[in-house]
Amino acid sequence: MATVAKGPTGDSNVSGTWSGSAGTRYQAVDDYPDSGGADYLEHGTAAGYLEFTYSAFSIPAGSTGISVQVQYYDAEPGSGNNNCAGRLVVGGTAYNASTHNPSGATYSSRSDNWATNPKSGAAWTVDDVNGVGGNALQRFGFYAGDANPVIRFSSIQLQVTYTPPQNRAQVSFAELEVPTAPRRGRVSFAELETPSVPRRGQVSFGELEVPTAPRRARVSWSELEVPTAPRRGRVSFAELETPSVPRRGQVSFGELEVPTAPRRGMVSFAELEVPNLIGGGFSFPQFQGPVLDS
Amino acid sequence: MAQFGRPSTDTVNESYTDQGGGSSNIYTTIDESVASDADYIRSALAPTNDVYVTKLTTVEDPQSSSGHTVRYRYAKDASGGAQIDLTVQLRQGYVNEGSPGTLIATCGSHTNISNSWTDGSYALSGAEADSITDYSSLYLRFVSNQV
Repeated sequence: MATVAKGPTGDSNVSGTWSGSAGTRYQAVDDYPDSGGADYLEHGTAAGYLEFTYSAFSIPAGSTGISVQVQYYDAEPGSGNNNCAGRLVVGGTAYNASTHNPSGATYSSRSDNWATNPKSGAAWTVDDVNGVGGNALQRFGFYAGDANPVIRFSSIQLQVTYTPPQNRAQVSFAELEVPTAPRRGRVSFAELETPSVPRRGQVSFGELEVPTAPRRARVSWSELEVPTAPRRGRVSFAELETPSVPRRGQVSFGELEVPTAPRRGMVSFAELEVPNLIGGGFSFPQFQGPVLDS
Repeated sequence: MAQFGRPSTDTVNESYTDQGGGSSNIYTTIDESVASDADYIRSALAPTNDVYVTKLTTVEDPQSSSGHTVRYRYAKDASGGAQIDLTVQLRQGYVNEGSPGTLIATCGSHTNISNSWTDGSYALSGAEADSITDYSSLYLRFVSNQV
């Protein structure tokens, strides 16, 4: 529920007797809520009405539950039977609220309510209260059916009460942009290729290695000395000559042992390998021995 | 080159729906890389400081205090009518309304927003950007209220 109020900004239609001057009376009551009567309008004793202009309302489209109130403060300096009420002018027609008898010199707060448009008889529309169309709210003010004794009004305002249309907030897009995180450049490999520098072939040394040529060992002489072989005394013959019966000398065994015939040790191959001498060329120590029979 | 944190989940949703009235994963309507008004999130009618919070996708710490910008598009659902105010915040470490984390920046305090889609953009100050300590825990918080 929302309310918006407007104060009087100018005088309009008037009837009866009123204090103040035409055209400026609104200034005495444009200070709502003046509940103390700092300034006021005095009406009477000739009853009538006083209407004011105001700056237009701008109620939001779609508003509902609209009602209009005339709010004011009244008092009577002298007690008596009089009556007054708030007043609306709608679509060119004036409408007075139900009157009441203001009592006492102390100002009383009043609020006269129009729940529906008195001109159309229907619910107020946004256009009605915004001053648009044939049933537009046009002016507000005071009305007195009996202004004797006089009635005083200290302030007045026109209020519209309404239920604003329900709306939504909508969001169709959202993002957070931040700079890209920094990175390090990396190099995992690098090379510079250039043509090879020409070179001369150089030979500082050359040789041909071949297997050592085989050699024969020679043995020019060799012997084997062995102890002289034992000899047996032998008797190759013996007899006893006797006259007698001839006998035969018997020899059961006999041999002739002679020294073993000498032999030559044989060497079919021998060599002595020595390192090649540095400086080219080599000498191969030779070992010569007797040539042996096979 | 830039990197973008975009809505990635509905962290808190107080009566917000998508344009069709759905209430699940409504962040998907505002996470596009090119803004589109074809889909959107919306508050309830006559919101009363209703909150919607979405977690942004993780971005890598840019090691920079500049170039941080929050962008969004917003509107009221119909012309005239009640006044709708919208507040947009960037927060870090948000859990819920009872534990809302750290306010990094108030990106927008929009009063009486229009029914026409409007771009919202906020460039974080250097101090605000420096106050971000965890780029994996950033949230956008929207609060809408009918006056």
